[in-house]
Amino acid sequence: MAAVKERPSRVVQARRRAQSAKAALACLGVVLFAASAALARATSAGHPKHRARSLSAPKQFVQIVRENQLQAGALAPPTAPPEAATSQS
Amino acid sequence: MTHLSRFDAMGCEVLVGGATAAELEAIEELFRVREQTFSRFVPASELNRVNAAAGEFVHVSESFRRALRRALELASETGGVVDPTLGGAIESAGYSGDFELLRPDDPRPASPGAPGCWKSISVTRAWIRVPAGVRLDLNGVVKALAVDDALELLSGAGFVSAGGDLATRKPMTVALPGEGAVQLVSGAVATSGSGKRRWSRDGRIQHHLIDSRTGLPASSPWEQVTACGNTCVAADAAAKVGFLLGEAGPDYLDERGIPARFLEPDGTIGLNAAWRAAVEEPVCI
Repeated sequence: MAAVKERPSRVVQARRRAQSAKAALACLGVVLFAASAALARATSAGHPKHRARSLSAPKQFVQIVRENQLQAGALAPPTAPPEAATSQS
Repeated sequence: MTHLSRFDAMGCEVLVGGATAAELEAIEELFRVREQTFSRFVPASELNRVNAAAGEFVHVSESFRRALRRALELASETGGVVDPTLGGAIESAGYSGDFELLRPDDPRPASPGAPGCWKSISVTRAWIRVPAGVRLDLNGVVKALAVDDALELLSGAGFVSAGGDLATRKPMTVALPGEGAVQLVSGAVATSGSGKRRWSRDGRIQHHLIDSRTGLPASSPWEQVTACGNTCVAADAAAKVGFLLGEAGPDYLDERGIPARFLEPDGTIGLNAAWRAAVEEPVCI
Protein backbone atom coordinates (compact mmCIF):
# COMPACT_ATOMS: atom_id res chain seq x y z
CA MET A 1 0.00 0.00 0.00
CA ALA A 2 1.49 3.30 -1.05
CA ALA A 3 2.29 5.82 1.60
CA VAL A 4 0.24 8.93 1.50
CA LYS A 5 2.43 11.98 1.27
CA GLU A 6 1.23 14.57 3.76
CA ARG A 7 1.11 18.15 2.54
CA PRO A 8 2.57 20.69 4.95
CA SER A 9 0.03 22.57 6.81
CA ARG A 10 -0.97 26.03 5.63
CA VAL A 11 0.75 27.55 8.65
CA VAL A 12 4.09 25.95 7.76
CA GLN A 13 3.70 27.06 4.14
CA ALA A 14 2.98 30.58 5.30
CA ARG A 15 6.11 30.61 7.53
CA ARG A 16 8.28 29.49 4.61
CA ARG A 17 6.88 32.21 2.38
CA ALA A 18 7.49 34.77 5.12
CA GLN A 19 11.14 33.64 5.54
CA SER A 20 11.74 33.82 1.80
CA ALA A 21 10.23 37.27 1.67
CA LYS A 22 12.44 38.43 4.57
CA ALA A 23 15.57 37.08 2.87
CA ALA A 24 14.60 38.73 -0.39
CA LEU A 25 14.01 42.04 1.41
CA ALA A 26 17.40 41.81 3.14
CA CYS A 27 19.16 41.14 -0.17
CA LEU A 28 17.32 43.99 -1.79
CA GLY A 29 18.39 46.28 1.08
CA VAL A 30 22.04 45.33 0.65
CA VAL A 31 21.87 45.84 -3.11
CA LEU A 32 20.14 49.20 -2.73
CA PHE A 33 22.69 50.34 -0.10
CA ALA A 34 25.63 49.35 -2.29
CA ALA A 35 24.10 51.02 -5.33
CA SER A 36 23.39 54.27 -3.49
CA ALA A 37 26.90 54.27 -1.95
CA ALA A 38 28.46 53.74 -5.36
CA LEU A 39 26.32 56.51 -6.87
CA ALA A 40 27.21 58.87 -4.01
CA ARG A 41 30.90 58.12 -4.44
CA ALA A 42 30.71 58.71 -8.17
CA THR A 43 28.69 61.92 -8.09
CA SER A 44 29.06 63.67 -4.72
CA ALA A 45 31.82 66.29 -4.46
CA GLY A 46 32.66 65.17 -0.94
CA HIS A 47 33.84 61.73 -2.07
CA PRO A 48 37.28 61.14 -3.61
CA LYS A 49 37.12 60.03 -7.25
CA HIS A 50 40.72 58.87 -7.35
CA ARG A 51 43.24 57.32 -5.04
CA ALA A 52 44.49 59.89 -2.48
CA ARG A 53 47.84 61.47 -3.36
CA SER A 54 50.33 63.16 -1.05
CA LEU A 55 50.33 66.96 -1.03
CA SER A 56 54.11 67.05 -0.63
CA ALA A 57 56.24 68.83 -3.21
CA PRO A 58 57.08 66.95 -6.43
CA LYS A 59 60.23 64.85 -6.26
CA GLN A 60 61.99 66.96 -8.87
CA PHE A 61 61.36 70.14 -6.86
CA VAL A 62 62.61 68.51 -3.66
CA GLN A 63 65.74 67.37 -5.49
CA ILE A 64 66.46 70.91 -6.72
CA VAL A 65 66.01 72.36 -3.23
CA ARG A 66 68.34 69.74 -1.79
CA GLU A 67 70.97 70.45 -4.38
CA ASN A 68 70.74 74.13 -3.54
CA GLN A 69 71.54 73.42 0.08
CA LEU A 70 75.19 72.92 -0.71
CA GLN A 71 75.52 75.76 -3.20
CA ALA A 72 78.46 78.08 -3.07
CA GLY A 73 78.46 81.74 -2.18
CA ALA A 74 80.67 84.24 -4.00
CA LEU A 75 84.29 85.10 -3.22
CA ALA A 76 86.68 87.64 -4.67
CA PRO A 77 90.17 88.95 -3.92
CA PRO A 78 90.24 91.14 -0.78
CA THR A 79 89.91 94.88 -1.32
CA ALA A 80 89.90 96.21 2.24
CA PRO A 81 91.17 95.32 5.71
CA PRO A 82 89.21 92.46 7.33
CA GLU A 83 86.07 93.41 9.25
CA ALA A 84 85.72 89.94 10.77
CA ALA A 85 87.44 86.58 10.77
CA THR A 86 86.40 83.03 10.10
CA SER A 87 87.87 80.34 12.30
CA GLN A 88 86.86 77.09 13.89
CA SER A 89 84.75 77.56 16.99
CA MET B 1 82.51 101.53 8.84
CA THR B 2 79.79 99.13 9.96
CA HIS B 3 78.74 99.42 13.59
CA LEU B 4 79.74 96.21 15.40
CA SER B 5 78.07 94.56 18.38
CA ARG B 6 79.22 91.52 20.30
CA PHE B 7 77.69 89.06 22.74
CA ASP B 8 78.36 85.52 23.86
CA ALA B 9 76.04 82.64 22.96
CA MET B 10 76.30 78.92 22.16
CA GLY B 11 79.77 78.79 23.68
CA CYS B 12 81.24 81.35 21.29
CA GLU B 13 81.33 85.03 20.48
CA VAL B 14 78.61 86.38 18.22
CA LEU B 15 79.51 89.42 16.14
CA VAL B 16 76.79 91.47 14.43
CA GLY B 17 77.47 94.26 11.97
CA GLY B 18 74.94 96.83 10.83
CA ALA B 19 72.12 96.08 13.26
CA THR B 20 69.82 98.63 14.89
CA ALA B 21 69.31 98.37 18.65
CA ALA B 22 66.00 96.57 18.17
CA GLU B 23 67.47 94.18 15.62
CA LEU B 24 70.38 93.40 17.90
CA GLU B 25 67.98 92.66 20.75
CA ALA B 26 66.00 90.31 18.49
CA ILE B 27 69.18 88.55 17.39
CA GLU B 28 70.37 88.08 20.97
CA GLU B 29 66.97 86.63 21.86
CA LEU B 30 67.11 84.30 18.84
CA PHE B 31 70.49 82.91 19.91
CA ARG B 32 69.38 82.62 23.54
CA VAL B 33 66.26 80.65 22.62
CA ARG B 34 68.12 78.37 20.21
CA GLU B 35 70.74 77.63 22.86
CA GLN B 36 68.07 76.76 25.41
CA THR B 37 66.38 74.50 22.87
CA PHE B 38 69.32 72.67 21.35
CA SER B 39 72.14 72.60 23.91
CA ARG B 40 73.36 69.22 25.12
CA PHE B 41 74.47 70.96 28.30
CA VAL B 42 71.16 72.56 29.28
CA PRO B 43 69.35 69.79 31.19
CA ALA B 44 65.87 71.06 30.28
CA SER B 45 66.62 71.59 26.58
CA GLU B 46 64.29 70.12 24.00
CA LEU B 47 67.23 68.17 22.58
CA ASN B 48 67.80 66.44 25.90
CA ARG B 49 64.07 65.72 26.22
CA VAL B 50 64.10 64.08 22.78
CA ASN B 51 67.25 62.10 23.56
CA ALA B 52 65.79 60.94 26.88
CA ALA B 53 62.72 59.61 25.07
CA ALA B 54 64.70 57.66 22.45
CA GLY B 55 62.64 54.75 21.18
CA GLU B 56 59.33 56.63 21.42
CA PHE B 57 57.58 59.24 19.32
CA VAL B 58 58.00 62.69 20.87
CA HIS B 59 56.13 65.89 20.06
CA VAL B 60 58.61 68.62 19.06
CA SER B 61 58.48 72.32 18.35
CA GLU B 62 58.49 73.71 14.82
CA SER B 63 61.97 75.09 15.43
CA PHE B 64 63.29 71.67 16.46
CA ARG B 65 61.65 69.87 13.55
CA ARG B 66 63.06 72.43 11.09
CA ALA B 67 66.61 72.04 12.40
CA LEU B 68 66.37 68.26 12.39
CA ARG B 69 64.95 68.21 8.88
CA ARG B 70 67.79 70.44 7.68
CA ALA B 71 70.32 68.15 9.37
CA LEU B 72 68.74 65.08 7.77
CA GLU B 73 68.70 66.72 4.35
CA LEU B 74 72.39 67.48 4.69
CA ALA B 75 73.04 63.91 5.81
CA SER B 76 71.17 62.66 2.75
CA GLU B 77 73.01 65.01 0.42
CA THR B 78 76.44 64.12 1.79
CA GLY B 79 75.77 60.40 1.93
CA GLY B 80 75.86 60.49 5.72
CA VAL B 81 79.26 62.17 6.03
CA VAL B 82 77.59 64.74 8.28
CA ASP B 83 75.15 62.95 10.53
CA PRO B 84 72.95 64.30 13.36
CA THR B 85 72.92 61.00 15.26
CA LEU B 86 76.48 61.21 16.57
CA GLY B 87 75.65 62.72 19.97
CA GLY B 88 76.47 59.43 21.69
CA ALA B 89 79.78 59.13 19.84
CA ILE B 90 80.84 62.64 20.88
CA GLU B 91 80.04 61.82 24.50
CA SER B 92 81.93 58.53 24.21
CA ALA B 93 84.95 60.49 23.00
CA GLY B 94 84.71 62.48 26.24
CA TYR B 95 82.88 65.66 25.18
CA SER B 96 80.06 65.25 27.68
CA GLY B 97 80.04 68.67 29.33
CA ASP B 98 80.84 72.31 28.68
CA PHE B 99 84.10 72.39 26.75
CA GLU B 100 85.67 74.81 29.25
CA LEU B 101 85.11 72.24 31.99
CA LEU B 102 86.70 69.31 30.14
CA ARG B 103 90.02 67.98 31.43
CA PRO B 104 92.47 68.43 28.56
CA ASP B 105 94.45 65.32 29.57
CA ASP B 106 91.97 62.90 31.09
CA PRO B 107 93.74 59.58 31.91
CA ARG B 108 90.58 57.55 31.33
CA PRO B 109 90.37 55.92 27.88
CA ALA B 110 87.60 57.01 25.51
CA SER B 111 84.89 54.43 25.00
CA PRO B 112 84.05 53.41 21.43
CA GLY B 113 81.18 55.39 19.91
CA ALA B 114 78.35 54.14 17.76
CA PRO B 115 78.39 54.88 14.01
CA GLY B 116 75.82 57.28 12.56
CA CYS B 117 72.33 56.05 11.74
CA TRP B 118 70.48 59.09 10.38
CA LYS B 119 68.25 56.94 8.17
CA SER B 120 66.64 55.39 11.23
CA ILE B 121 65.08 58.67 12.42
CA SER B 122 61.35 59.07 11.83
CA VAL B 123 59.92 62.56 11.35
CA THR B 124 56.25 63.35 10.91
CA ARG B 125 54.45 66.69 10.93
CA ALA B 126 55.16 67.40 14.60
CA TRP B 127 56.49 64.14 16.00
CA ILE B 128 59.88 62.53 15.77
CA ARG B 129 61.26 59.21 16.84
CA VAL B 130 64.91 58.52 17.53
CA PRO B 131 65.80 54.82 17.88
CA ALA B 132 66.54 53.58 21.37
CA GLY B 133 70.16 54.17 22.33
CA VAL B 134 70.70 56.93 19.75
CA ARG B 135 71.48 60.49 20.81
CA LEU B 136 71.05 63.48 18.54
CA ASP B 137 73.57 66.30 18.31
CA LEU B 138 72.39 69.22 16.18
CA ASN B 139 75.01 71.69 17.33
CA GLY B 140 76.66 72.31 13.97
CA VAL B 141 73.44 72.87 12.06
CA VAL B 142 71.84 74.92 14.83
CA LYS B 143 74.61 77.48 15.11
CA ALA B 144 74.80 78.00 11.35
CA LEU B 145 71.01 78.11 11.10
CA ALA B 146 70.93 80.75 13.83
CA VAL B 147 73.41 82.85 11.83
CA ASP B 148 71.23 82.56 8.70
CA ASP B 149 68.07 83.39 10.63
CA ALA B 150 69.75 86.30 12.43
CA LEU B 151 70.84 87.74 9.09
CA GLU B 152 67.17 87.76 8.06
CA LEU B 153 66.44 90.02 11.02
CA LEU B 154 68.69 92.75 9.65
CA SER B 155 66.84 95.37 7.64
CA GLY B 156 69.92 96.79 5.94
CA ALA B 157 73.36 95.71 4.82
CA GLY B 158 75.17 93.87 7.56
CA PHE B 159 76.56 90.56 8.67
CA VAL B 160 76.35 88.02 11.49
CA SER B 161 79.17 85.82 12.71
CA ALA B 162 79.03 83.14 15.42
CA GLY B 163 82.33 81.63 16.39
CA GLY B 164 83.72 82.37 12.94
CA ASP B 165 80.73 81.08 10.94
CA LEU B 166 79.77 84.19 9.05
CA ALA B 167 76.94 85.24 6.70
CA THR B 168 76.68 88.62 5.04
CA ARG B 169 74.36 90.87 3.08
CA LYS B 170 77.17 93.07 1.79
CA PRO B 171 80.59 92.46 0.31
CA MET B 172 83.13 92.33 3.13
CA THR B 173 86.67 91.22 3.74
CA VAL B 174 87.11 88.25 6.06
CA ALA B 175 90.37 87.18 7.68
CA LEU B 176 91.23 83.51 7.14
CA PRO B 177 92.80 80.92 9.45
CA GLY B 178 96.56 80.95 9.38
CA GLU B 179 97.04 84.03 7.29
CA GLY B 180 95.41 86.00 4.49
CA ALA B 181 91.96 87.30 3.78
CA VAL B 182 89.23 87.02 1.18
CA GLN B 183 86.35 89.17 0.07
CA LEU B 184 83.02 87.49 0.75
CA VAL B 185 80.84 89.04 -1.96
CA SER B 186 77.66 87.24 -0.92
CA GLY B 187 76.58 84.21 1.04
CA ALA B 188 78.52 82.80 3.93
CA VAL B 189 81.84 81.39 4.97
CA ALA B 190 82.55 78.86 7.72
CA THR B 191 85.52 77.03 9.15
CA SER B 192 85.64 73.59 10.75
CA GLY B 193 88.55 71.77 12.23
CA SER B 194 90.10 69.83 15.02
CA GLY B 195 92.60 72.39 16.27
CA LYS B 196 90.50 74.14 18.88
CA ARG B 197 87.96 71.80 20.45
CA ARG B 198 90.36 68.97 21.20
CA TRP B 199 91.28 67.09 24.32
CA SER B 200 93.11 63.95 25.32
CA ARG B 201 91.84 60.62 26.68
CA ASP B 202 94.43 58.12 27.87
CA GLY B 203 97.06 60.01 25.87
CA ARG B 204 95.05 59.88 22.62
CA ILE B 205 93.89 63.13 21.01
CA GLN B 206 90.14 63.45 20.69
CA HIS B 207 88.04 66.10 18.92
CA HIS B 208 84.41 66.84 18.11
CA LEU B 209 84.35 66.01 14.39
CA ILE B 210 83.24 62.40 14.32
CA ASP B 211 83.64 59.95 11.45
CA SER B 212 80.08 58.66 11.02
CA ARG B 213 81.35 55.30 9.73
CA THR B 214 83.36 54.47 12.84
CA GLY B 215 81.83 56.66 15.56
CA LEU B 216 85.35 57.87 16.42
CA PRO B 217 86.99 61.29 16.02
CA ALA B 218 87.90 61.57 12.34
CA SER B 219 91.45 61.28 11.16
CA SER B 220 92.11 64.03 8.62
CA PRO B 221 95.22 65.60 7.07
CA TRP B 222 93.59 69.01 7.56
CA GLU B 223 93.57 71.05 10.72
CA GLN B 224 91.04 73.60 9.52
CA VAL B 225 88.85 73.70 6.42
CA THR B 226 87.15 76.92 5.33
CA ALA B 227 84.31 76.78 2.80
CA CYS B 228 81.97 79.24 1.16
CA GLY B 229 78.23 78.59 0.79
CA ASN B 230 75.10 80.41 -0.27
CA THR B 231 73.98 80.11 3.36
CA CYS B 232 75.86 79.59 6.58
CA VAL B 233 74.32 76.12 6.92
CA ALA B 234 75.70 75.22 3.49
CA ALA B 235 79.13 76.70 4.26
CA ASP B 236 79.36 74.93 7.62
CA ALA B 237 78.31 71.58 6.14
CA ALA B 238 80.78 71.99 3.27
CA ALA B 239 83.63 72.81 5.67
CA LYS B 240 82.82 69.77 7.81
CA VAL B 241 82.59 67.49 4.78
CA GLY B 242 85.90 68.86 3.49
CA PHE B 243 87.51 67.98 6.81
CA LEU B 244 85.84 64.60 7.29
CA LEU B 245 86.59 63.34 3.77
CA GLY B 246 90.29 64.03 4.25
CA GLU B 247 92.28 63.81 1.00
CA ALA B 248 89.04 63.43 -0.97
CA GLY B 249 87.63 66.68 0.44
CA PRO B 250 88.97 69.16 -2.17
CA ASP B 251 87.70 67.15 -5.15
CA TYR B 252 84.34 66.45 -3.51
CA LEU B 253 83.76 70.17 -3.01
CA ASP B 254 85.12 71.05 -6.45
CA GLU B 255 82.60 68.70 -8.05
CA ARG B 256 79.90 70.84 -6.44
CA GLY B 257 81.56 74.15 -7.30
CA ILE B 258 82.16 75.00 -3.65
CA PRO B 259 85.29 77.06 -2.89
CA ALA B 260 87.28 75.62 -0.01
CA ARG B 261 90.62 76.26 1.67
CA PHE B 262 92.56 73.60 3.56
CA LEU B 263 95.00 74.43 6.34
CA GLU B 264 97.37 71.64 7.36
CA PRO B 265 98.83 71.31 10.88
CA ASP B 266 102.24 72.55 9.69
CA GLY B 267 100.67 75.75 8.32
CA THR B 268 100.59 74.70 4.66
CA ILE B 269 97.56 76.13 2.90
CA GLY B 270 95.82 74.33 0.06
CA LEU B 271 93.06 75.74 -2.16
CA ASN B 272 90.66 73.74 -4.26
CA ALA B 273 90.06 74.76 -7.87
CA ALA B 274 86.81 76.60 -7.09
CA TRP B 275 88.52 78.79 -4.47
CA ARG B 276 91.43 79.53 -6.79
CA ALA B 277 89.07 80.43 -9.62
CA ALA B 278 87.13 82.81 -7.39
CA VAL B 279 90.06 84.54 -5.76
CA GLU B 280 92.73 84.51 -8.41
CA GLU B 281 90.68 85.28 -11.51
CA PRO B 282 88.76 88.56 -11.21
CA VAL B 283 85.38 88.45 -12.88
CA CYS B 284 84.66 91.24 -15.43
CA ILE B 285 81.05 92.38 -15.45
